Amino acid sequence: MAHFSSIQNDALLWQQLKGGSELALGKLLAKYFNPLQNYGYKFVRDEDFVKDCVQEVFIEIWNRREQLSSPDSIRAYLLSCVRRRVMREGHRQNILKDEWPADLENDLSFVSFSPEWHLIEEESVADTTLRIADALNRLPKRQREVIYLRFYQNLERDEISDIMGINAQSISNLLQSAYKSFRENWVGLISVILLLGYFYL
Amino acid sequence: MQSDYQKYEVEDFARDDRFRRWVIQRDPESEAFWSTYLAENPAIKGKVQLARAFLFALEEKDLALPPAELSSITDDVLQQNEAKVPFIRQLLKIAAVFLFISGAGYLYWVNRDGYSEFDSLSEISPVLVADFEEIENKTGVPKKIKLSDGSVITLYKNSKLRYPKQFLTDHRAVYLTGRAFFNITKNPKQPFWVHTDRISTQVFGTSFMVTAESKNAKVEVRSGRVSVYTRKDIQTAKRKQQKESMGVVLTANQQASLVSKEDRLVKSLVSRPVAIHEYGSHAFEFEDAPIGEVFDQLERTYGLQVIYDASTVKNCFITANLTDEPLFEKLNLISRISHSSYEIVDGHIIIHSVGCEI
Repeated sequence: MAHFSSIQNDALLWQQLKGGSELALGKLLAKYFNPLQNYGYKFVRDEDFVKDCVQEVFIEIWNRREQLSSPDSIRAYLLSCVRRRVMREGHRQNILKDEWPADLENDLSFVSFSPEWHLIEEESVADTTLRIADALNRLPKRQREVIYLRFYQNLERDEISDIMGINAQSISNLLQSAYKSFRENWVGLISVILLLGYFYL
Repeated sequence: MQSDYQKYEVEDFARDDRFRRWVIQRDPESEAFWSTYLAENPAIKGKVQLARAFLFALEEKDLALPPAELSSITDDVLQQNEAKVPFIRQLLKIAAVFLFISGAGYLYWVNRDGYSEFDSLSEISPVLVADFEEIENKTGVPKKIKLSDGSVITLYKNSKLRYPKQFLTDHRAVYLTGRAFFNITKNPKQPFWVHTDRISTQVFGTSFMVTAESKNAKVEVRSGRVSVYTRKDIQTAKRKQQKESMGVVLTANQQASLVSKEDRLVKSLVSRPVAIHEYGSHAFEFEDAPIGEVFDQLERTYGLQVIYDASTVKNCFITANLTDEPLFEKLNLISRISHSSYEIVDGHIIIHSVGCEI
């Protein structure tokens, strides 16, 4: 329900932005800048670079506001803009630096999860976080990205399919197989956690 | 509404709006809701913690910018919309070069009293200029470095660590620029020193974080004990042949930061103190407990000293479940219940209370 009203709200803001409303731009940026940064960081591990890319996406949107279409999902549209820009700029910089000249296919893709939790407030959660990251990293890259978009970005299958450029059925299949191997791990995790006595049930 | 959560699986929590406002957006109101809800429904705790850890694992790192910065980015977007994007990049590059230069100027200024970096390093430990390794981390991924003594150092972005290929027999010394987390192998015969531009830390087998970024210098202790000195103090002590006694001693959950202008260290608590050992799941459930017991439990759990006047609070009793709150939240709740207030002085927690009526 909340998701539905948020989509409606986004569509309204988008309409206003296209009409030149600075307020609407500010609201969309405030809502999406942080999650977009988080997504970009999944491809290039450089905070400043990613921040630049996200900002440039918004600049481009603002400059081309009159010619913009009206996508079904603003969130998915923004995510795919960031994905494209991070990839393109990342490639360009790598080519400039001549770091991986021969291997353009594989040099930029979804990274492994390496949560940074040295000083997290609850040690039991920090520990579980690392275990989960470990389980996630055992999945193939595409499944990892689907899981990330589904749960961290809270997207529906159609939206994920638009972003990754894979049809919706394949997204369902990827999710299914990711669930299967991952949920087995979760059952294991729950028992580990209980065993260590972190939580009382 | 509430009964729904009982049936939730981990995935359902991960996608629930209210849950996401707590975990992803760190919204205090949602946090308050969940902490009350969990206290009343302990049965779902396991799933909730797993869902939190799941979202944290996917997030990896909290890159979120505060609202003020987002609105200034909005202004930039609006103002720079006429300019071509590549031009912005140019500007950024110029700014970066400028920053670098001004950074270097600052270093020069610090060393103007006749110390070049070379002098200063050889003064710290001769092996740091003779036979050393230097590792720099320019990537956003923290880099782990294992030293010959088994100590592990996590070097963060734009940080540099210099260490000798072989440590001297009487002490171990490394030199840090930037930010790093240290996990040091205990060896009382060979104390470990982390030097930075302006402060030096002596370590007694422990884990802690050091930040030495331009004007910001800080040491945060996770476990064990360290002592921190300004470099000036060490030089003075050497000149006067005194024992180095100007340092600040830190234990778990305490931090020292440099007040740049006065070249003085200030001791306080880290922003998110962690429990130094695991505690029983009921350790923070209190029923009509004398407040002194609550303070004792806090001292044991966080390894910090709580200073209060026992006779004033002898009639204060607490009934509450403080299991999941971070330390400062616990303190806020206790203050509210017992009509007291607290402050952090010199890394200790001081309780001010007017007492409770019977």
